[in-house]
Amino acid sequence: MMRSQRVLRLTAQVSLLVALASSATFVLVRPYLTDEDKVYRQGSITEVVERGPVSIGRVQWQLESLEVYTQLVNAEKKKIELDQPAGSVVILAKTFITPLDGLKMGADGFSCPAKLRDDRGNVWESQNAFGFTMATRCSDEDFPFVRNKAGAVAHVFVVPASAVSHLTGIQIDDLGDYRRVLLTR
Amino acid sequence: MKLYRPVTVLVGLLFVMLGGLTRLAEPEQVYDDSNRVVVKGTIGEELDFSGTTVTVHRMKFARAYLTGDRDEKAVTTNGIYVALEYSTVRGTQDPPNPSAELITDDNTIYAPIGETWGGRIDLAEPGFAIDGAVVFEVNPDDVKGLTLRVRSTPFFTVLTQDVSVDLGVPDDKVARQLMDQATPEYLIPRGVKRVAS
Amino acid sequence: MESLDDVIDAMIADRVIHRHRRKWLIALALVVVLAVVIFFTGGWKEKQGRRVDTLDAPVTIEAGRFEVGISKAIIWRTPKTEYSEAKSRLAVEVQLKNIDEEDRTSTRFDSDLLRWVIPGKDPIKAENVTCKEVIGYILVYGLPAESCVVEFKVSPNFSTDQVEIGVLAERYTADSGLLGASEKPYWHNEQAKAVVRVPTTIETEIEK
Repeated sequence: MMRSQRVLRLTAQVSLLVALASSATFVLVRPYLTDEDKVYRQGSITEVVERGPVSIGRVQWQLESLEVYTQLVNAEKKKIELDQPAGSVVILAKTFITPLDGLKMGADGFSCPAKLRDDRGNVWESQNAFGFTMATRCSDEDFPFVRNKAGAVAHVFVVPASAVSHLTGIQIDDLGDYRRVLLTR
Repeated sequence: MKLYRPVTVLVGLLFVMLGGLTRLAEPEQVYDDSNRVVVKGTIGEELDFSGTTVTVHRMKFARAYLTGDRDEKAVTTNGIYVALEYSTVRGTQDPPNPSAELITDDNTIYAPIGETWGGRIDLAEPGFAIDGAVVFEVNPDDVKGLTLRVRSTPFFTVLTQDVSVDLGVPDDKVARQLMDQATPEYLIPRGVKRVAS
Repeated sequence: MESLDDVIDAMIADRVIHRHRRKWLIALALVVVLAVVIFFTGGWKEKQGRRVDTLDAPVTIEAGRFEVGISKAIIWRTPKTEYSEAKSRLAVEVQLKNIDEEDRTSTRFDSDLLRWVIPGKDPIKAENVTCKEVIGYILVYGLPAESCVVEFKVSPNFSTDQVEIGVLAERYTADSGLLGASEKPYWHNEQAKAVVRVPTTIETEIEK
């Protein structure tokens, strides 16, 4: 009789201890695991999509190609001035972008920023290339967008030549849904 | 049973006092940034600044500076200008809001001049380096222990890394020498971007 | 038979008022005498207007972490040209020195620390402070005073022979830690330090 009582008490104590310890751990770790904002700001990719199409925000993206150039020329075959130090190359990320229903499109189009990412975690922002024969952003008056119709946009990047073999694709950030999508070729 | 109560209270009080005493013993901790790691170095050393490499190549003292604009007169000072020629090589991370300042042994803080070139330490995109100069207006009587401090100020409280470069002015004698060797005019070089080797 | 309430009221009246009748009467008399005295000696009003000293230029004032010297003021008139209207600006010549012994840091002189005091109107803030042709010049702690110019906007035909410039001083205090703010002191909380009467001349400049 005495022993079974003791065993019972022991079981109760151990289970209480386990319950307390696990709830303490949960409460301690929860802010780091579920704070989406904090996790998002650490910069990691949340999903990888090959080529697409993929809807991010209210815009549909599709990556056609990543092409390497030594320089870009405009319609008159003149070189477009870009900040290109010696040893760097121009990367053109050719995409098809479709503005979907619900996207706010003003007179100056909308914004569709994309960054270039490599396998070492380096991220490059796009450059302005005025006068290029294709649209380089979604707010160019010369290349207006129509809702639910795809438009070709070439995002321009300048990277060191040594980075070309490491490039993985373009990165599209969506703060609203805490998504960071990598579109690979 | 009644005996336990005052003792319990006293024990509780004792712990509270202990807590208060430890706080008193280390008042600095309340203000000191325990989330900053400082990487220390000297001129010529490549120092890590949150993934970016910062190197101070040389230090020059000057009595006046020129920015290279057309028709300009040299900008003079009642003190002395200290120009630091540096290189930065950008890595994967993006150090948020980098700022540069000079500190002395007397805890005097100098800020860079408010010009486009020479007003800050510039960083480029990943894989690219910048060679440039940052210029400070300094009190020549207070340069002992001159140190460059580069800090990043993120919006959130995270572990931050600062760089501290000892510029080699250990005593007044060296300060005197540097003052005597100061060039009359320093032309601030524009920042040059290149691919990092 | 009286109600309990009445009994209690009577008890309170007795204990508080009746037993200390004389003391109450003396207190009342004192208040009345005080009121009469104050009324006949002019009373007191809230102090209006200037609460700081008024000085004459040239003068040097210690204002927080800066030493401000004010010497003279010039109204620069620019005559009308083919391309622009006639305009004027008020330029006050000042000598600014960084005397921040607390932080010992190089810092800019905030142009809001100097105001143009006009009777009857709110003080006017300065447009900018220029030293060595640089707006927002960074003053170094330990170096001697720099000659600077504080500019105010005026109408093209404005004319006067004296302006009053108010100097504000910051204080080195900490925020109250009660609501969780850091208790580290810093320069803020600017308050009026002095007003300087500056003789003003009028000169003409050609638009460059």
